[in-house]
Amino acid sequence: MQSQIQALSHATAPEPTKCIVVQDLVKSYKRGRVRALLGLSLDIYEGEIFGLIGPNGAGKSTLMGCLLGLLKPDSGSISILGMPPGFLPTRRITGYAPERPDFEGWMTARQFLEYHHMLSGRDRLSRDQEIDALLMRVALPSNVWHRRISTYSRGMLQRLNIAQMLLGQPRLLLLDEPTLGLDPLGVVQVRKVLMGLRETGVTAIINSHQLDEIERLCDRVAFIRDGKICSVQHLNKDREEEYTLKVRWNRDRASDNVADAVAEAAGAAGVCLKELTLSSASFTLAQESAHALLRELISRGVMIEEAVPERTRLEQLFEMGGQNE
Amino acid sequence: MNNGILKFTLLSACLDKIKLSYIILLGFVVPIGMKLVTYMHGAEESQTFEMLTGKVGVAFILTGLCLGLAGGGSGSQTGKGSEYLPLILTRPITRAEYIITKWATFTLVGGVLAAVQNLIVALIGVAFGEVLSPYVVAGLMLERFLDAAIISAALTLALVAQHWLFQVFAIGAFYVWMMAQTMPPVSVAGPSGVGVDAVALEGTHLMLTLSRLVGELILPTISVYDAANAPNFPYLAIVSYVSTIVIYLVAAIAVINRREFFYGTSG
Amino acid sequence: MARAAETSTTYMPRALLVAAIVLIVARVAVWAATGQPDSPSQVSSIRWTALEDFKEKEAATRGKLVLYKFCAAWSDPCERLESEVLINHKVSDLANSDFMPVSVTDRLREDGKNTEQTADLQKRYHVFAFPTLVIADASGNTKGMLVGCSSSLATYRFLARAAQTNR
Repeated sequence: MQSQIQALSHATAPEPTKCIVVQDLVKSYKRGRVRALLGLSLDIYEGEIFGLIGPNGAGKSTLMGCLLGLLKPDSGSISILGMPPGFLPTRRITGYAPERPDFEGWMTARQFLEYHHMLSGRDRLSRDQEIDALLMRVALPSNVWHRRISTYSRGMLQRLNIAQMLLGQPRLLLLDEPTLGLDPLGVVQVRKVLMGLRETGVTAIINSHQLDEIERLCDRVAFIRDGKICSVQHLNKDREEEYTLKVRWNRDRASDNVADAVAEAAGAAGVCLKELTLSSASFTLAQESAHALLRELISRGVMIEEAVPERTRLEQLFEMGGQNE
Repeated sequence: MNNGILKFTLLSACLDKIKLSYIILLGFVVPIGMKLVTYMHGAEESQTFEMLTGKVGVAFILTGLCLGLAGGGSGSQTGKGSEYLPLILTRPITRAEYIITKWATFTLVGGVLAAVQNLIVALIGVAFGEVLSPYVVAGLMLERFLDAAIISAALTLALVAQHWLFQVFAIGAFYVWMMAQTMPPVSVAGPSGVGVDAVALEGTHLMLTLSRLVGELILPTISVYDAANAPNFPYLAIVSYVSTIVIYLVAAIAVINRREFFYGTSG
Repeated sequence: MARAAETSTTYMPRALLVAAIVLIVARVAVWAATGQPDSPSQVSSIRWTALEDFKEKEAATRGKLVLYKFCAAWSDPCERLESEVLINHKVSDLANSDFMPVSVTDRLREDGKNTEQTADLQKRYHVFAFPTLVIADASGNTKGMLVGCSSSLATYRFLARAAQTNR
């Protein structure tokens, strides 16, 4: 009975809709001398937050440019909700936050958003309301809304950049290094905005070198290198993620049986001891186990000076050149 | 036409301090000052004055407005290094709409500024006893709008066509046109024949003729008073003028349609 | 297909494209049709006095300024001045009413030299190009100089300013 129910639920479960379909995309510059994309294919589903990572010159920005209609592929196809990127209806549902936005210094934040609001062809009557809501959403302080943009800090500019991206309630967002230059509060704000959007079914593509942010935000991530996708990883948040924690203690103040104490603590906390030296140890553990491990170590007299994660999973992927583990 | 581009290009002209200072100084203070000095001291109006209150003055005003053409207002970034124009072009507007609105706004701003300047200068002349009919003054003001329209079209094309060869050509052509404006059509006096002097004379003559021809080809402007009082309808002048504007606009749209914006790591 | 093209961000407005083509054709056609005039379609009504017939004392008697027109037969700008500027009735009426118009024709290229009178005048008023309009009082003092074929309005204003100061 149970298996029948399961089979039925699988059968009737709706297939996720594809938001973006990229097929065999080829793009080169300088009359073919620089080959940026070499037959890249990719499917991105509606409602997912998709990350793009890869070394400099891999083709990430070229892919973003093609998705935005700013670059014309040599061959291949792109479909965004069934429409080509260069169509006006596609532009209406797309929001874009560039890495290095250029603002007119004489404008205020409100004027800047008003300008983009008008460019988007939005209804004039709802303009003020929408702009206020956006500025509050990105936590730009209200006392700077009427100040000239030339007086803004990097963080304020990035907030404004995010705000203009969200104009018109787009269904697809393309973000290029969205947390670059932001203070921790700003990073949290951007994260909140994106997580909030996920619940409304908005699709987002994030191009970033901030691998920890990608890991936090994205459902899937594609590693691009030399114009091709090397791998696409699912970043399953439900599964406990394992990572490596390196703990360091003061060797001079450590007791003689510190090694035994560390091994015991690992066992008690249920984590794997990977490496042990006179002054440090590396553990493989799940996210939630770190607190328990540190408590066990301290209770056994280990004078911890430092405990840092060694590398994220995506960093490992990066180092391996995008090959699957 | 896009109201956002129109509004914010106008605002940029009014609120950008550097542009405003440039326009006030070159568009108003200098020519009006020169006019006053001319009348107060009984001097003749200089060629510089004629230029600043004529087509060259319109070109100076528009160059100041257009340079750094982005944004709501003025710059046109290449898409490399900073991303203003690409950001605009990811909005649901056609690139043709962008070009035409920019051109229309520059024409409006440049035309109004130059027309007001001409009006002020004319009123000063009238105050000092110069006889100018309202018909003539209106013709001058209209002429400034017509100048603004064609110069804006040329500048718009020059700003979006980023290829270095075209930029060199555009700058060269602009200077040739300005040269043609500094002196009306003229033949250099002197004997023909052989010798260095004769060669120099012929060379000067050729240069002046070429500059006039190039000027008429790239920026065929209309003299409203002359056109209105010509014995024959000035078909060629009007067709040349309108066709040049349309060609520049079509070329600007074609260029920006083909243009790609790359802002990542190259190579 | 047409509708799809119209929704593209890189749509070229058809009307503008057609207008460009039509206007290019029209421009070429009109240029070919008008060409360069062999002779002015209308003759200026300014009553020019030849230099050899001109007497400065007459100008002084009439209380008028002298308007010298320095030209050369081989000069295209001079021809333009005649055919496009001096036929303007406002210009010609003013020239006739307030000035003594005198025509000075340069013959250096054709004859190898000018008459003494012509050469003296060119030297006195520093004429270096054609056409040049010089306004002088009865004593020969320069009151204004306009070099080149300017527009009708510029020429009219040049004459009007000088005429006004003489009244």
